Amino acid sequence: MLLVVDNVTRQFGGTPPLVVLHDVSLSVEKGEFVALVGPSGAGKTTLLNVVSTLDAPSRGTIRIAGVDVHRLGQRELNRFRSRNLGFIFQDDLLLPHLTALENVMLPGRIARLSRRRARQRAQELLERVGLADRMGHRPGQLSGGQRQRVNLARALVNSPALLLADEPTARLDQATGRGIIQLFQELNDQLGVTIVMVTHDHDVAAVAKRRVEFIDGRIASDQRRG
Amino acid sequence: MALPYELHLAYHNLSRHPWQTGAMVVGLALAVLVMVYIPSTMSSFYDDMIDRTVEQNSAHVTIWPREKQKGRMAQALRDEEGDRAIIALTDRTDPRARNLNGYHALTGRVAATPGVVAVASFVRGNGTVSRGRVNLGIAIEGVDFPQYGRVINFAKHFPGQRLPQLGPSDVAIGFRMAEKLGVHVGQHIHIATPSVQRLARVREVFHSGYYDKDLHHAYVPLQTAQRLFRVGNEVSGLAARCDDLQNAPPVSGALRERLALKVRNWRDDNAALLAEIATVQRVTFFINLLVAMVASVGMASVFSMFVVNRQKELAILRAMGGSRGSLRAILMMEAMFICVIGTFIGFTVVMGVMGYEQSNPYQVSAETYGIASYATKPKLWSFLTAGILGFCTMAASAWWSGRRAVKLNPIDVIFGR
Repeated sequence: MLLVVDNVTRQFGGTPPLVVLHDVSLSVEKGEFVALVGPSGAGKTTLLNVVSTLDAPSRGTIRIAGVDVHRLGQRELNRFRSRNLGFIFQDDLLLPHLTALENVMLPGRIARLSRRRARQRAQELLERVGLADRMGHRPGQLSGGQRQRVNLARALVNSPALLLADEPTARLDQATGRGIIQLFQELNDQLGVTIVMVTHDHDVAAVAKRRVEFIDGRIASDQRRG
Repeated sequence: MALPYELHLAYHNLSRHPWQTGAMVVGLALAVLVMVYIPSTMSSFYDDMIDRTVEQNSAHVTIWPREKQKGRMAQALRDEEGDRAIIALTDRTDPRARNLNGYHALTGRVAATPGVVAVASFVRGNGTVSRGRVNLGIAIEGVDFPQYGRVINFAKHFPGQRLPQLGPSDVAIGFRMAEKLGVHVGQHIHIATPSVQRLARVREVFHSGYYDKDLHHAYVPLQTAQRLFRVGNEVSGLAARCDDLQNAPPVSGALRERLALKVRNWRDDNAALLAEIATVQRVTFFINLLVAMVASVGMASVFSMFVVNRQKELAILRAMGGSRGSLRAILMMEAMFICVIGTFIGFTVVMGVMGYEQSNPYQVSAETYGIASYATKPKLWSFLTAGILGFCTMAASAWWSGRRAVKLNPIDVIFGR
């Protein structure tokens, strides 16, 4: 198993405390494309944040590639995150003063890839997502769909074991969103990238090989396609 | 060699915020300018004062006849007169007793004192000069020029920075006195002392840099002065030069013990002025301290805002695996960019200001300050101090601003939780 979520609870302070995830357990195999669906406030994004190691569970454990990630020290966690996980958020979190190419290179540079290697990898990925002619443009000069493609390329630059996406098409029009989802599908089919994606959109979820539905912080259903 | 990505990001962050970056650079440059200029000005003034006062116009150590105690004189008189009369406490010292007897032997003893490198004798007294209807009260000083020139570097005051060669009837006067009397080199003036009046030829006109000396001082040969004041073969005192200016107090102490005469050093002679300068230096130090503190707080505040505005970017870097150390390094590099550029600009401007002053010295009231013009000279230590303070200020600003920013949870910042 690539990802094992074992009895994870996440609660936030306050009186009474707000429990967003209740003893959630989930396993994802290498090469799977999993869509997390459900209404707002169901706990999908919270689970994604906990899996991404940017947030810590209140209880339970998360293993990625056999590593209990929340037991790692800060330095090891940073290294693990930069080399094994890729993120795409709802907002395009690109650095506005860097070009598309520099943005994509950045995770590689953080992971201490050589500048040449990071550049080569970033160019390959930008070509793959159809932005070969936009490499020198800054985010402000790109459309929403193009920015999200840059995000996708950036998430893949270190060849992560697991790609985590939080409603990547939410801010895009239907046609552009469809193009992005098609890219995800290609990455999964052709390169075997393991994807866990949060979405509200049932059409988007239909593309995924597995559909996990959340209701009130619990897994309500877990269905595999075909 | 590939540059680390931190340096690349630091450069981009600064260049895309030109106003904020510019404000911090200008702020630091101004602080550096003030921190260099004010201490350099005060130090230059102090050095200038020492040079003009001690090196060019007075000796490190002077030896005078021991003053008779007025009380002693009264006691002596009472003894002579018995109990019948008390004599008023008036200075009835014989004028000749105010001079040094046997100064040739004394000169040898002074010269043999450790730390003394040159000794010269002088005769000093008050008199008047006149030409036409203009009269001036002046101080007349008789010296052996070559000998005196080894004690005091007053050759600088004369044309060509060469010591004058005066004949028995020659006089060297200050340029302000020459202007006042309307006299030029080669013309004659009347010199009068309480005992003698005679005509003297103006042989040289000097510029001492001291207003009062240039107006009220005249040099004559030693023998001429002895005749003018009728002191025979005696002199008013001896002037000595020490191997080191700061060595004057211990040397004067040793001479006092050995000679049992009145011995003064340049610090005694300028005690009031030195105390005033020390006070001004203390005030300057506090002003500089305030400048440094205000600059530090200002820099820290602006830099802090600079960092707060970029919290989301820092959070993105953290989310991508950027370590806290990397983020701190980015902020530190930004601070160092500002530090280097601001300090360079500050140094360049202050060097320009000082260069301008050197070629166009400030004109000051000679009557008030004793000197007519003044220019700040660059002091290496003030540049070093300002550079170090600038570096510490920016490093502390980066550390202080980054301390909280790197601890924030990326999720909290990205999702505004």
